[in-house]
Amino acid sequence: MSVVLKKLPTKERLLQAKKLSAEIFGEIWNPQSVRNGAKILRAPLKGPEVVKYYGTNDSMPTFKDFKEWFPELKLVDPREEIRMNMVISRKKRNKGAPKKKSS
Amino acid sequence: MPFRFPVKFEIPKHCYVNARVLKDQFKRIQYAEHEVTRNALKHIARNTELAGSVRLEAQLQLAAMPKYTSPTQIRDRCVASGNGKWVIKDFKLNRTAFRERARAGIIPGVTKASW
Repeated sequence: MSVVLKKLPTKERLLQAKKLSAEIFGEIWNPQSVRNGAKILRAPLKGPEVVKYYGTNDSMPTFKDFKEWFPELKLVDPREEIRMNMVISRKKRNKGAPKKKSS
Repeated sequence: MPFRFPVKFEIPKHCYVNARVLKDQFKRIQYAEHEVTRNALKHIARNTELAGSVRLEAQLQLAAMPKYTSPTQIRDRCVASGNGKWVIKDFKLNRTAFRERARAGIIPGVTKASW
């Protein structure tokens, strides 16, 4: 049996149908587009992404960690060694950091 | 030396660290912690279906929250040099840091244009 539409349903009926469909599909029913701030609650939280900008600390161990874990290996960071040598040579030429004020 | 921030937090290990990077990291952590509260207050303040006094109170409370919980205080800084200006977002690098690395061929997929 087929139903033939003789005329368009009334506006109210259409609105009712739209409301029902919104309820069924979990959509927000707001026909007047009232500013109810729902978009603020609907948006996903940005915090977890923002915190990760400078990297997560437990993503991978650093050289310092290895030094701490295996003190018997006596690991030396080559970059740190170069830096220390520079500091020593600068100090020899009296180009080191100024002395702290003694109170 | 006392910890200079109101709340203790973990210092990032895998990037260049200076005072400004630390400050930024602190703000990021605080923002993430207070995001839900801020969103709730913002939702109340922006909801035109609520009473005006309620909305005003929410707005005042939002404004009274510490400045470091605000997302607008966060600035993307260079991961390699801590610089806050001219940071290329895709690489999180300042323009000079990016240039040095790109010329050395350290950044995968980046080559000097030539045609």
